[in-house]
Amino acid sequence: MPARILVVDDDLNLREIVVLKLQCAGFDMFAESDGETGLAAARVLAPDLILLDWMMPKMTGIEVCHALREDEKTSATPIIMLTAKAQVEDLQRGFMAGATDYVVKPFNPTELVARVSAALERAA
Amino acid sequence: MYLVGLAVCALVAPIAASVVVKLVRERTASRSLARATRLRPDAIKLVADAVTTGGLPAIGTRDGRVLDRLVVEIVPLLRGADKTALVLVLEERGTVAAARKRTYAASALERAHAAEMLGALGIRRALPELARLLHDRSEEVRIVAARALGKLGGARAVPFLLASLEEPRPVPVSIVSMALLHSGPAGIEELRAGLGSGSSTARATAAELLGQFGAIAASDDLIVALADSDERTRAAAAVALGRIGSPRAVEPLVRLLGEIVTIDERRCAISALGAIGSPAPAELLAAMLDSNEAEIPRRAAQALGRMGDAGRRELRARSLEVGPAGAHAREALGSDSDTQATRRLTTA
Repeated sequence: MPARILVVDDDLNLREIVVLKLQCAGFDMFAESDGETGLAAARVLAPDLILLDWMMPKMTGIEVCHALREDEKTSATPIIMLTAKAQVEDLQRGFMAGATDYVVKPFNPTELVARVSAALERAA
Repeated sequence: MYLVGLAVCALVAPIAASVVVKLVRERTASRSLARATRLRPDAIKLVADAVTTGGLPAIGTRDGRVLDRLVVEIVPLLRGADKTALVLVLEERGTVAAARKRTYAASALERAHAAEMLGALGIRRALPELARLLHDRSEEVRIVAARALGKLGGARAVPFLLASLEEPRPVPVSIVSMALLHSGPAGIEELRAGLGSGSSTARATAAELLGQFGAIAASDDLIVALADSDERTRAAAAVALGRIGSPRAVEPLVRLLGEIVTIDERRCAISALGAIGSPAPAELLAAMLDSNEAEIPRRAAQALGRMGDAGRRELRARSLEVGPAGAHAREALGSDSDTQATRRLTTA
């Protein structure tokens, strides 16, 4: 059964590119456009991995990340932050919130597929 | 009666006209949105190489224009081979060539759109067209062209961007500075050459950017710029030397402080000395705690605070004083030292 991946990003173009690229790589994809619905979807779907934007309406990626880590159902789910915030301090904040990995925008789709696969393998 | 009718018509006609214009605009926007929604999947599929370019709407048609715009929106989200592949698709479709032609369009909006597209796609061979648009009669076009040149990156755009600061149709300094920042440190040699420009705005901007890039190789040029005829250039050179942190700059900065210069230059030079952190000017800066010039005592205290032991020794000595100098010294020493100094003052 293909791994289920949830992507949460408010940029429609980016969301669709990520969905298509990962679908082509054989993953089962789900997408949401803001932090609040992303968190709700994660709780319902219990995906194998979550791709999370940082700056989003309603709830930031960091807030979602904290909430996911506090929830027993999603506390161990790998989370990859997908964001334009590339400063070392931002990376630190992301990892401290519970992110597993980090992909900086603009992003390389091939690298994203590789990171997703590696994170899933580590979590297995 | 006739006159009343005429007056009513005169009142109603503009309102009716504006309603019609609004309706037409709304309809056009709604059609354009519907077209974008319909074509977005094709644009996205291009990233995954899941659609053949032959099946796409032809360039120049309404659908073709919307599709190209969607692809141009997508390109800046990507890096690597996928980005290159998308740009190649637009090259093959003739979109890039058409955009280069449209930089000559009669409409300013067309020229601006073309410049924006060439910048977003990173078409470096479009540099001559974008450089020409830096002197366009429309300010909006000049601004878009400057931003586009910044997105191209590399050194070649730097001389054009610096030259665009000159009259009679200058591009705003903030726009050029951001474009130069986006161009990246590859243009350091060109920025060093910019310190010799005939335009004082260009010299000051070049100095500022050299500091932003931490260009150690430009230290000597910036030291020379401390004696520039233009005060903004001197101040920018001082700030840049502080950012670079070159110890060689200490003496020239101290010399600058000893000359009759503007308050802004003095503030910049003091902060630069603090950023460099050499203890040599500690005594001089301690004396500046008594200055009546706006911001100077605070800056001097902050600079001393960044100077290590020598600076902190001066601050501790002055922190016992009652008055502004003592307050600035205590503030720079931090809250712990502040408390200790206050306690000592109270005891005294």
